[in-house]
Amino acid sequence: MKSIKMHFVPILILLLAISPSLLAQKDLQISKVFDQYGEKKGVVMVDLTNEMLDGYDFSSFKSITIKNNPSAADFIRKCLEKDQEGAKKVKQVIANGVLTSVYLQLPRKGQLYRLILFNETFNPENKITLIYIESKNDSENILKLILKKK
Amino acid sequence: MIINIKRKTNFAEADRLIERYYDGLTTVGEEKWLRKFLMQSNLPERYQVEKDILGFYETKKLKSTVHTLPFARWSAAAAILVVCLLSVKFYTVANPASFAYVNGKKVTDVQKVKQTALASLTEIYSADNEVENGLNSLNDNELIDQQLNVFTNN
Repeated sequence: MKSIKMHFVPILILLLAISPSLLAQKDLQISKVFDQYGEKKGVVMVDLTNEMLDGYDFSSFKSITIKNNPSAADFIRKCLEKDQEGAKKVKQVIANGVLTSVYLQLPRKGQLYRLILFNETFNPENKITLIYIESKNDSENILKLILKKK
Repeated sequence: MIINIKRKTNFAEADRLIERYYDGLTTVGEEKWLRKFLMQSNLPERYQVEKDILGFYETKKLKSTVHTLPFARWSAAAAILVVCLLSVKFYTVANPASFAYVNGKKVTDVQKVKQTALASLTEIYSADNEVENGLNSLNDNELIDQQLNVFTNN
């Protein structure tokens, strides 16, 4: 019995170590956006896991681009309101009292740094882009890399 | 009837072997047979003493077989683990780790998925440029001059 315990403890630790990374995004409100709108028409959703993307090493990269759907934009803003609690706002743009752009550095989840990027444009058409990033690299560095691309 | 005769023969054989056992003349095979015989239920009372003596060794032997249980447990655990790993493998093949949905259609080609991801990042860069351009135009000296001119002309 003792030997069983000895072997099960590492397995349990392993499971506990894996599960937060699997569920890191699920604790956020924005996960609902990906679930609700991801497979709809007029929407482009990306889900990358453990892939290198243009020099960035991401544990997880999720993005969604929604065109001409103001109700989706309102829904995302409501989700972001919840998710920004305890997060650091790197950038925020409010136009006519409406949030149109925000970069959020979320508190770390285990070893993972997490970022949310949101942007809404109106010209030439209404387009919403929401990106969620998880990485073992410092989110400051990821942001610098992203902003350096300008 | 045949069973009864056989049973009587067994008793006779058992009595003979018990006698040999006490004399220390039994072979390993004979003792094995005797143990097997004494393990039977519904034996006459006269075999109780021998049953206690030889049965003790038999239960000890049985106990030692209990030690094989952890092996069975571990085999079961290993089998479950293998099944779980295979399930995970099949699941990941059926549901690739990286994918995209474009207008409701699933894309699993990693290169295409990466291109789509980069396109969404570009949306953010370009939006950031727009904001910066807007801020730059606010600092534009020409614009400030024009606005001041409005007051000087008045």
